[in-house]
Amino acid sequence: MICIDLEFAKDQTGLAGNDSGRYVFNKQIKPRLEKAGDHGPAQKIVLIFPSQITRVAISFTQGLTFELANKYGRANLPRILEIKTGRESLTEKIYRDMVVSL
Amino acid sequence: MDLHEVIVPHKKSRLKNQSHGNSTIFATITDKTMTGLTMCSVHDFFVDADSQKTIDLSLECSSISDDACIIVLEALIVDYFSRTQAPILYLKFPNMKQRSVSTEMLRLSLFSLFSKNSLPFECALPKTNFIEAFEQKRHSWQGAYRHISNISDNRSDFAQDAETILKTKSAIPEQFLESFYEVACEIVSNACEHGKAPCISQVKVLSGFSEKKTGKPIVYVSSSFVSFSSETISSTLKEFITISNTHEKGEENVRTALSMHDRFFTEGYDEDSFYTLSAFQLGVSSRQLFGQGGGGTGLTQLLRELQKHALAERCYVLSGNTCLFFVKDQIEVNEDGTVGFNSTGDYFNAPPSPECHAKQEYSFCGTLFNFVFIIEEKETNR
Repeated sequence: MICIDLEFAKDQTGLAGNDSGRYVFNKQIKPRLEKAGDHGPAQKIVLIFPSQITRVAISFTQGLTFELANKYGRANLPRILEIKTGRESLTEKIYRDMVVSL
Repeated sequence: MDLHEVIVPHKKSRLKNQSHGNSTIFATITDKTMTGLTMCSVHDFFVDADSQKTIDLSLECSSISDDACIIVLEALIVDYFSRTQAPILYLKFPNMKQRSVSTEMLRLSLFSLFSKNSLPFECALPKTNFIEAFEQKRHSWQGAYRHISNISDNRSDFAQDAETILKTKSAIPEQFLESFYEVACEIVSNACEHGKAPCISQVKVLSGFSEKKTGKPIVYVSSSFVSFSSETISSTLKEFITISNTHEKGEENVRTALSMHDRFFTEGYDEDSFYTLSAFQLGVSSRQLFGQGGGGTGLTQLLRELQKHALAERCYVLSGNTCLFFVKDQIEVNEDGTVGFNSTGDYFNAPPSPECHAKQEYSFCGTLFNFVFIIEEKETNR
């Protein structure tokens, strides 16, 4: 299991934008995955969003999961990724949004 | 680009009276409703006006089509100021009525910051102060919030603050707020990622109204997104489809549909109209143009969610001279991600229905979204 505490500016409560999602993946997630070696689909990646984040737009989720979706397929993402946020409804939304094929 | 190029008007000026004093030009535009055509008249007048004189402009309308129109008027005035030495401009709306939605839209516009009384609505716009107010990055006043987004900005900045305004000013259901956040982020993201110009994003909350039949409290949420650019939605997509040699599903759909729509083209529905509605199919995105993969994030789908929570709505996008209306029961998203913009939901074999598209008599240089939602307020918080 690879646990990654995502970091954002303290006054930031919402996340949006496909390119912003990709940026966060490249800066905060990718290096950790590379450090862990080829993690493979069996190893869970836990993404922990700080509690101040109350809104995550689908565009951000799509960008954040773009590379992993290409590698493993969107439908498999919920098995690979575990999402933790400060609100249950937000966690559910991110799971819903990550499997949507656009 | 220069703002005075934002509107290329059809020559149909509505400027009825114009008299010149020693130092002031008094002008009156007699349109009953302030629309894009009214803006053409204002544009023509500003271009031809003697820049050495002060302008006193009276718009005799008693209603305003929407907030995007007000933003364009503000932009035209800013452009006029930046091209001339005029230190001040007087603007009057003598026929606005008490407690009308249009009057409220005006009351929550930038103009109200320079107006001493609500009715008759008159304002004196000093050059420096007005330009500063228009160009301010974030601006919040009464029930309105405006944000100018650039490529380097956080995509959620406007939506975040807009949500706060919506929550503070009225009792709007959570589901609406969530969907609004998505739509706002999507449009700002599109403008920043795909466009080459800043996006003026604005939301207004007009409360204190009640539904005619039931008397229940309702609130108007009016949101506009305006970017001035030489590129239009159709020109961007057309260029992309023409030069692209990849075969993503979204763009293949556009090519297939274009070969079918050829036979539907008329004066009122042309290739630009086709490309504009094609840009709102799922999986079609000029992001692909930049080799980043991934299709459109589905504004149409997000908008449908938002419309579900409204009693009534009017949503459209204007780009160039093409206007596309997001009519609630005509934008069903099919399983393959296509949207017909017609009652059969058929993107490939049927043209869009007449209520979903229109050709304007003028051309707007850039892209402008305007959404108005009428929502029943939550009674619990009242």
